[in-house]
Amino acid sequence: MTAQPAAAPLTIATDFGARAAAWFDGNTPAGFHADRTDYAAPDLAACRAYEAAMHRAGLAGITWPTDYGGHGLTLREHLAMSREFGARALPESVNSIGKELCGPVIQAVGSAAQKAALLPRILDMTEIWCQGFSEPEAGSDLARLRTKVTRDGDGWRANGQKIWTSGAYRSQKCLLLARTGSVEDRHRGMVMFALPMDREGVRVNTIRSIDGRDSFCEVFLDNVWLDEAEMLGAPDEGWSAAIRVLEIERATNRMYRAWRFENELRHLVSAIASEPATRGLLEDGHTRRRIAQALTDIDMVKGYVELAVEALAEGDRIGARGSLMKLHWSESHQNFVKLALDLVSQLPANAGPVARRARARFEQGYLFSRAATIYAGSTEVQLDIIAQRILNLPKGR
Amino acid sequence: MDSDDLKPEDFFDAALAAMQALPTEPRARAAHLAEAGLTGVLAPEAVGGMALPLAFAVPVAQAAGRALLPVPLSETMLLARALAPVAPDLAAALCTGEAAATLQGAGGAALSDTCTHAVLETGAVVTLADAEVTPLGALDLELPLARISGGTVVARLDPAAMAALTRDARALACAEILGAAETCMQTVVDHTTTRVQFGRPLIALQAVRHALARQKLALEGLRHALRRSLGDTGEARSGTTAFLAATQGGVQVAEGAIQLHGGMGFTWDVPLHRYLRRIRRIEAQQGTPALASRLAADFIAELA
Ligand SMILES: Cc1cc2nc3c(=O)[nH]c(=O)nc-3n(C[C@H](O)[C@H](O)[C@H](O)COP(=O)(O)OP(=O)(O)OC[C@H]3O[C@@H](n4cnc5c(N)ncnc54)[C@H](O)[C@@H]3O)c2cc1C
Repeated sequence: MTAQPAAAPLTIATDFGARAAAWFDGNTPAGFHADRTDYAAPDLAACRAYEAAMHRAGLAGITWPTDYGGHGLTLREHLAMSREFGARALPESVNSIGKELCGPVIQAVGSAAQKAALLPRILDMTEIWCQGFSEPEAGSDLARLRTKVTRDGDGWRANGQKIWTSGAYRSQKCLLLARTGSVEDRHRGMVMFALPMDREGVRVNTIRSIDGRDSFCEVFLDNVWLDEAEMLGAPDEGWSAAIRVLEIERATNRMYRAWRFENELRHLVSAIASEPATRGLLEDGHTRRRIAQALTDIDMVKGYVELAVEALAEGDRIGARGSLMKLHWSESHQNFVKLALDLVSQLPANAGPVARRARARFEQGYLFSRAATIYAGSTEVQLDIIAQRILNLPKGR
Repeated sequence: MDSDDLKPEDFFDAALAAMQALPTEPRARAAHLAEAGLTGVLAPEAVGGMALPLAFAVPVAQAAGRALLPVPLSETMLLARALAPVAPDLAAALCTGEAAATLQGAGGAALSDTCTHAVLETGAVVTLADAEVTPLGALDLELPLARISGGTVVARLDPAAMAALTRDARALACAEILGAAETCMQTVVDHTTTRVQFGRPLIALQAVRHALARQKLALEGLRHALRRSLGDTGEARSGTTAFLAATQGGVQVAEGAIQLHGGMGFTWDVPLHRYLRRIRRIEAQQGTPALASRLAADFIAELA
């Protein structure tokens, strides 16, 4: 094992961060902040408008080429923006799948015509994307997916079913992973398409999730026509492109997480301190140790993200390292929301608006956090990946 | 030496080689480490040091963790720098290895026969020859903890110097834990790769693979936290959170390595317990539970 240095200085794009902070503070509509008492969950139209404005202000598509509506900067600026975005309790992007997963894949494997047609519409929010990978019979074992495309003249016909497709009901496009052959081919013969969701034969049902929202969906594909020009990359590139999506999903997607986690901890502590009935809990040694644990985890997640940005900015591929980051973030955040739930559950019935807002936020947050160790590859799958691809442990027989 | 052409990681191999060839006579050890250029890494040139930034002491401390070095070298490196303005002769002696010093933390000082001086929490620099030394448990076999009092005061460090010293000592303690944990990780991967049960090497079993993956997660988490704390994050707490990540992660890796060695892991001869002892000693020395409590209290005070 070689000694790895512990000392490369981080380059933080402070000027860009200050610009982002000023924009967020000057342009965020009332009611958007989940840690303020005037919070009112914004609807889809409001989120779309806000994200489009963010893009016009130079705060979305930061690393994308200027030819395709991007701003031609680096991940360092993206990180600087993310720190400010995370530090404020702003709504999650309604098109993070488009901006953070599909966009990068289109840039990697798409043709010039596809890039020109698809990328600007992601950034200006006219097209929201969903990710059609998982199927009823293919979750962790994604290579067993069955959705099949067959040749039909100069195009293709798709048949099959996707499930757990987040936001499919509100999406204009789907990044569809399918196969040309049979399930026995495993990862050979996988293809990826940019499927328009209004195409004939596409049917979407929402599925209610444990937090009471109708957020993810099943998507049925019944003899759906796909144009040759809608195929992303070569027919056999589907699997490697999919792996790329998943690596990004685990590593750089929602880069603001550690800072949002810190925003949540601040909100929690302020709310508990705001009520005379619960203030004393913050003097308790056990509570303090749990808060110290959360701070330690937050800084570790920051360390993972910042060093990944440095590595990527130096031209490295993120590879399996995203699995370490995803695993640490998801589990430590679950640990934190348990603390949050323990504390807000002790708030009195006559609690003021600050405390009531925190209670609502963290009850919801607790339930939603159960998903983090399931989506983007479950915990067990991440552990397999770390053993296989980071520790390089041979499987043996 | 010009730090422009030197990289911190260049120090690791040379440091480890010197530590593995340590003389058996305790008093000769500091001079041996000095000859290898390790004691004066941080001290100014005027007292015979190399005047390099803290990042260069990190791989040296990491090597000390791996070698289970029976000399408080991190403390000696830091004190040769801190004492240069107030006690240049002693600083020079620390660089040449004529003297070796330890630093007393909230939970005591790590002490071996190599040491000649100690810095107490008050900032008093005392000679050990006439100090009162009370042993505090025997976890660390090479560098056990002791409480030092009395002794002739030869110099004093002011509170600002003590604060800087404490902070940097904590960073180097993280690096020592990193070195110790890396060794445990390598040992357990080697063992589970060769040990056969149920007709297969242990690493073919998913439960074992997942346990190793979790140890790797802890190890990389502590490496990233340390690295981050050495940069300019603008957060005063990052040194403390890195230290908490290091003690937690280090213990997890060392205990996990013992577990996956089975009965062998419980033996005196397999050295895994020595690394666990060292990590636990460092944890006790820094008063870790109080440190965590203070970290939370500061965060709460900022908001309430
Ligand atoms: C909120 C949410 C949003 C999602 N959004 C999308 C989306 O937009 N697009 C999309 O394509 N998918 C999406 N998913 C699906 C997600 O990727 C899958 O749920 C996930 O890959 C697990 O697959 P599965 O549900 O079939 O569970 P299974 O694969 O059946 O796993 C069940 C359990 O068995 C464990 N397990 C499985 N294999 C192994 C193994 N080899 N060793 C040990 N344990 C194992 C798993 O860890 C899990 O605990 C979403 C999921 C959630 C929860």
